[in-house]
Amino acid sequence: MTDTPKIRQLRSYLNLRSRITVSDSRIFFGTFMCIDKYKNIILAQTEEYREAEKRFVGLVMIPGKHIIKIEIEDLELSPEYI
Amino acid sequence: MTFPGDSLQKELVETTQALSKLDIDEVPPQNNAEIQDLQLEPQFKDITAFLDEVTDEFKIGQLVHLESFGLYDAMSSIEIMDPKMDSGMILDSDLNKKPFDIKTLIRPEQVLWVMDRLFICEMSWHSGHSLSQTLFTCMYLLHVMELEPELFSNNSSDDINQNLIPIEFVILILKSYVLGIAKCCQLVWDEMTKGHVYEEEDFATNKYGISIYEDFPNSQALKLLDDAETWLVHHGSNWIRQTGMDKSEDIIRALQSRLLLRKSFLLALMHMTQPIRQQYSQAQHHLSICLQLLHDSKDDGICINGTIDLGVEVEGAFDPLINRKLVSQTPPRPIHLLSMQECVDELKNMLKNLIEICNIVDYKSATSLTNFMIYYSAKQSIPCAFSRSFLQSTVYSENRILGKLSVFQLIKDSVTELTNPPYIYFTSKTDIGTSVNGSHIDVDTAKISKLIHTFVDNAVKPLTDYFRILCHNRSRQRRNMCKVLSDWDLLQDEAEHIDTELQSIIKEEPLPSEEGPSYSFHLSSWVYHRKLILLEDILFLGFELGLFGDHEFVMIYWYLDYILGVHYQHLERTHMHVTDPRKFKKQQNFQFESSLQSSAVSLIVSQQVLTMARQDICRGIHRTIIALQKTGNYTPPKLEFDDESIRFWHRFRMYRTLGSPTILSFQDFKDTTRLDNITAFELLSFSLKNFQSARSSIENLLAIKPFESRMDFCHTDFTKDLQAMLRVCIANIISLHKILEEFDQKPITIEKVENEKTTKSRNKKGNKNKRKQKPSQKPPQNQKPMITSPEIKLVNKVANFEFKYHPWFPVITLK
Repeated sequence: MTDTPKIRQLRSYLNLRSRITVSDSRIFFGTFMCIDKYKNIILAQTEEYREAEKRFVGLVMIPGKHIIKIEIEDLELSPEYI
Repeated sequence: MTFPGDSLQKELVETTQALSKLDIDEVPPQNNAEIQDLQLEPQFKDITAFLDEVTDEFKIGQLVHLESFGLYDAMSSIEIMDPKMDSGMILDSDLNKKPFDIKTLIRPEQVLWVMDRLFICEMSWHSGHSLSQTLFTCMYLLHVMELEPELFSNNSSDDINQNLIPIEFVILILKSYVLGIAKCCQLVWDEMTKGHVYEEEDFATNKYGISIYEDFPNSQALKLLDDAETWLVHHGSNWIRQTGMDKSEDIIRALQSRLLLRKSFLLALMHMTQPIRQQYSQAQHHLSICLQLLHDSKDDGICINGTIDLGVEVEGAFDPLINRKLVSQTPPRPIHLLSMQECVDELKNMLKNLIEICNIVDYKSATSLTNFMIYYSAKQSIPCAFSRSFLQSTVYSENRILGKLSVFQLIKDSVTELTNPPYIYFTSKTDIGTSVNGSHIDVDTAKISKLIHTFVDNAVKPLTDYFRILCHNRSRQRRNMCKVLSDWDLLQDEAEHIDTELQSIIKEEPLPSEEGPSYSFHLSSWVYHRKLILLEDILFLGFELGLFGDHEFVMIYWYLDYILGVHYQHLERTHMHVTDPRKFKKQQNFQFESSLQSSAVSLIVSQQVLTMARQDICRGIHRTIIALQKTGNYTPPKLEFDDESIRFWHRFRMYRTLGSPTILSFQDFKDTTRLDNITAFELLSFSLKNFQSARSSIENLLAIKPFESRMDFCHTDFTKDLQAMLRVCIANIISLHKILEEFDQKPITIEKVENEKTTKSRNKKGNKNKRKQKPSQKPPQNQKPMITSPEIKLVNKVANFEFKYHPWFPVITLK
């Protein structure tokens, strides 16, 4: 398995809360568990948001091709940006 | 592979991070309150671009995942944007859907449709589907409290004037019906959550956090139903008639009958679920009203059946996509709601079963109660989960049998009914206190009482467990019976010790028998009898559940033959002790004793005959199969990875740990079933005799009165079972006659093994020629055919096993 600094960095994102926007404009908010080469991502304890509608969906796999945007909880956020 | 320089890497990361931080404020849409809440969570950075880069570096198949997260977990995730799994996806078909307004006035026939649809949902829920896919799809059920007159008049007063549909059709008739259903479901739900049946296997109790109006009183729902009925009779029906629509009378009748059905069903459920089981007669009354409403009688006005398809659909009243709004871990299963006719049949079946259960509170004897449960659980139209759970609640809850008897009493009765032990055994403590000697309590009596109580304490769990098992679904029954076998074995062991001690206390004199002195062993005899029934049922259930292959039938029926034989001997022994003539000379109250004795005798005799009939059938079956193996009409499949001895061991492994009966080995099986020196013809004739004797046994059993065989409550089912067995016997007798005739009349082709091998490689034509050349080898008519070699075959026919009459016993034919 390849192990580059970037992949190491990516690994450090595991288990963090993440927010994924998909092509039909829903937003999924859950714990980052797993990713593969095609950016298929698995989130755990996920909540789904569609505008005002919110529901719990649990463990979901979001195919990479439907992902518009991925955000991850930022632990290193320094005060200057707030 | 080249690694980017560290500084470059850092820079890049910093840039992306900075970028993310800059645009993070744009992420949450301003108009979205929910998303803004997320701002309370930690800040986010956009890693979309970073992911693009990093995943480029992935090898194909490489995963980055948490150590604790494996492939198995990954497989259980729901795939987003897959229309089959993702219930949150907006499909094209949903886009143009108008939101449903329950405050629209609907016509009576539409009300009827909603009612029927709700009923279908209710029965589908009963049949095991989840609430989210059945009742909760109904908009009227979810929002029934919004059906208030004020809301209507404010909203659509114009509509009322235009259409002139009385508002009561919705706010009274439909509302009362919906609430009636909700209350029925609540009562059923309360019963089902007691844990008597397997959740998710038999029934789904998840309410997904939706209220089914638990706080709304039952009495209120009943009152509403009454009001609705009254209004319908006095006003609604007039209005319907005035509109002059087609079938107006039918619609009035349909609405009326549904309201009445709902009211009666609710009342019945209310009576049935009272903690003290004393209102069963009222419940029964209401259940019979329901049943009448469902019957086909078209002549006397009110019934459901004739009015099934009068309803007119209300578009959007049921939303199958409700599931997406509910807290659900699993995607909805594709389900098929029952049809109206199926629902009516289901409900009829359920009502009949419930009425039967209401009967048993009129306790007759412990054995008849047990028999009722046995035959109830074996019903061919499988009793629904609710009625099974209800049976369990009725028979045993809060340490009481049928809400009144102690388990001590039940065990006392059960033992007495079979082995009729000395009166002193089960004399209760109070009886001892007031016994002949008055102040002085006999030391022996106290000892006996103590021993008996030890026995009963030990027996409570196995017996109540057994009752519980009989209320499970068939597959569970078998599984759990295997689990409790060891409990019964242990109990038998303990009972034998207690019996021995009791013998020495009462100084029992053994009966002389061929195998030496024989003691009565009252308690352990009872345990052994029950245990043997378990052993038999475990194997029989295997047939019913389709667990065995054709090629295993010989083995299983052979073993059943053995166990039934042991059981018969055991009953014979018990019979001998019950009819011990010396017993009566000692007893003071002769009359009472003799009635107990004669009832025990008649029970034992009926059990003996039943056991014998079953044994004969089993024997007939395995002999027939062995004979057909000899003739080559039945060839067990050659399985490459199959070892018969291992399979034998596996099939009877639950019996290995038991102290009795002695386990038979595979060698025993091989030795007794080889039967080299018996011809197939003889063997078939023996089987014929077996089936004939089974037939006459069953005919005798059919003549026995219900109270003699202790089948008081389940006599119909018992008779049905016997008749099915009788049919099996008759069909097998006919089939055996045919087979034997073929031996006599038709030319028998004798193909030696070598010939078979060669013909297999040849074409069909060659095969036919072979047969034509051989008729000369046909055995002479009058002489007994010498069919001893296994190569002989009745032409072109294969043995066929059909469980068409009885789930436990096949009809064997040659086809």
